[in-house]
Amino acid sequence: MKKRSLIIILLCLLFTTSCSNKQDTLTLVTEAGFAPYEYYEGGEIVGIDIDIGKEIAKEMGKKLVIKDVAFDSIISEIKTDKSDIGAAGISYTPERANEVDFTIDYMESRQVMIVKKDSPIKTSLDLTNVKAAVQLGSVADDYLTTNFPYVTITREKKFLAAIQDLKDSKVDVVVMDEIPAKKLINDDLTILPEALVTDHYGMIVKKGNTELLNKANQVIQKLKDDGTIDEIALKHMDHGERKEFKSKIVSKFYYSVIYEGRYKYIITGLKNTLLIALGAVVLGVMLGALAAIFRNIHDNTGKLKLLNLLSKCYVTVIRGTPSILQLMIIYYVIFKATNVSIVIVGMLAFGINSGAYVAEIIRAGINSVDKGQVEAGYALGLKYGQVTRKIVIPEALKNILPALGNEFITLVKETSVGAYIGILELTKASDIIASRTYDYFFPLIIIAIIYLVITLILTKLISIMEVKLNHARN
Amino acid sequence: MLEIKNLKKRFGKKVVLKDINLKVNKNDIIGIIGPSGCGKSTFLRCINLLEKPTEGQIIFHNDDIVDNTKLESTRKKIGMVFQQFNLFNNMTVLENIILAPVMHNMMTKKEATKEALRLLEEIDLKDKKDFYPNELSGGQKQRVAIVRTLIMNPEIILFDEPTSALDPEMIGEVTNLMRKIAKEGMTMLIVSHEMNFIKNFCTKVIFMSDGYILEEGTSNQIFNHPKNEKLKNFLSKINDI
Repeated sequence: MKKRSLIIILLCLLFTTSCSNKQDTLTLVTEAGFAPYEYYEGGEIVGIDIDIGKEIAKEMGKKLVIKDVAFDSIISEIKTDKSDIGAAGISYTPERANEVDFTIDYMESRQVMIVKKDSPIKTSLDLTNVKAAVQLGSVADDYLTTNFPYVTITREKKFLAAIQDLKDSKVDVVVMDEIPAKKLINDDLTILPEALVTDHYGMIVKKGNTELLNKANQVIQKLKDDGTIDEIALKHMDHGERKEFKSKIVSKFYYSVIYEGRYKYIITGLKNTLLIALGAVVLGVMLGALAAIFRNIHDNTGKLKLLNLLSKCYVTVIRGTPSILQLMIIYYVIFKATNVSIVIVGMLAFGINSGAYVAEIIRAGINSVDKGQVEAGYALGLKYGQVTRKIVIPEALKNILPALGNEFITLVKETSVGAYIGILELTKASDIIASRTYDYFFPLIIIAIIYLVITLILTKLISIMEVKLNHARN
Repeated sequence: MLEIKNLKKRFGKKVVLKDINLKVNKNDIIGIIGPSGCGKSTFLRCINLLEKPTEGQIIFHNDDIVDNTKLESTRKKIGMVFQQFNLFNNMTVLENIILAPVMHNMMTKKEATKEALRLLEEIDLKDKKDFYPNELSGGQKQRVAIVRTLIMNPEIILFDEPTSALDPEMIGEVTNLMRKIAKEGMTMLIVSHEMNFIKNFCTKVIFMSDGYILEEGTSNQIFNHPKNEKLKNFLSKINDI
């Protein structure tokens, strides 16, 4: 009964999360950690880019759907039709223009240098033999790499991490967009007046999607002409009055967890993490059991040559490649141009990944069964199937079940990779909060504690199970 | 009832059994002795095809069983008792005994349980019926293993060093049970290092060495009047201890 209700829950989830009509929606893809262009507020993604996106959607009579992925995944999102329009403070570069079409620019952006107040760096002329931090794949990254060969560049996934590097004196300077930079400086940090490079932000659409491109250009031009864009920018610039507490720690905690209901990200993240891990372990056990059974039948009877070979390939390929790569292949190649919920994609990807490990766990469990007992079964005239069912499987389960529990623990942590394709799981939740508070301390510590608690609970459950399994014999 | 002709067994390049010929008649109690590594156990395991012979014939009731498809039905009639008992660890004593007859549809579960309890009563282990193997002593395990074979009503039982893994004080309970079964007319092949037991118990003894049967005779002939030099040598080493 329990199994059946679990399957029903999973199926319901599949339908509710995957059913949305592409016709009536405009999907905007972004990376929501780049205030004021896009950031989380009260559980929603807002920002300059989002407001412009809404105007474009309104003009087209569609509903705007926002998708939050890693910055370097945005172009593939557009190319694979997973999203219609990309807006993430994306600067025009010829390389990018080769891949996608740019709208006219809607914002001018200045790439500025942030340094510590006592830094010897005063202008771009000082940028020799220094260490700089940038956001991976950003304009600053491109520009520094091309024009400043004597700068050692640290490429961080988030510009917040780049700022953290500067605060920790790991680097001497951070190069980034001026508008978000203004929100980051504090008593220790300052922005140098000189702009290293000025470039223009545009939105991106799939090459050849002229209908959307024209619409977007038309809307952007109108917003620029009537001054709405400046209003929008201003609105997003001065949000976030800070309430200060006497204790710095209390204040940090307040802003990390309570303010604007930020704990909701953690709850959603926790839910998705557990859901994906659970779905993946169910799928993984099914796939793994099949692969292990095919191989075992082949090893013992010589039948199922093809299935044995397939199983071997499956295990080898999956175990031989990183899970993040598998996730991206499944998302960007296999599920290209489909509208399946990313949580489901996550379950599939992690399930397929886990299956390979489960296959080996099961095979090892079967192989560890005392050969003598198997022989005794044969000596009594029992057939392969009977010996497997009555002797091998019950014995093997004792070894397999605890190992499967450990696999589940691994999976819970492994799901953090899902943040890469935009799944809002625990790690992503901490990222979102940090991108709003500009402080990694509480989000990371809280998430770490949650992972730890889950792991401890699971470990306890496994040890109870082990005792029960052994009890059956004692 | 059982005749082994020109039996050969190779493991890779290693030839373990070179040319084994043996006739087994009903009610024979055959002891197989020889230095370790001479192929005694392999020979026994070939008879119920746990090892597939490389060459040769095993004739059982006028049928060559080496290449036949009735493997399972042949094994039902040739029981085997192992050195390490090989009881099914996940089953109780009773479940161990009734598994095979029930799976083969020889008996209903009720009939099998009744028969198993009768046999357990005979060996004074009825009170252990719900115990798991790891709760039994070595001697008790081996006696249960013998009963597990007996319930199949086999025509021959192969004993592969049945007392080698036992503490000395437990050997008696197993050999006594074997004697009792022999009295009831069971045909047996026994590989053992318990020379006194073989000497006093077996109607026929064969001496194996280097993959051949070098001498065959009554236990009086083998132990008191050995002819083969290797056998003499083997026996003198044992008597030295």
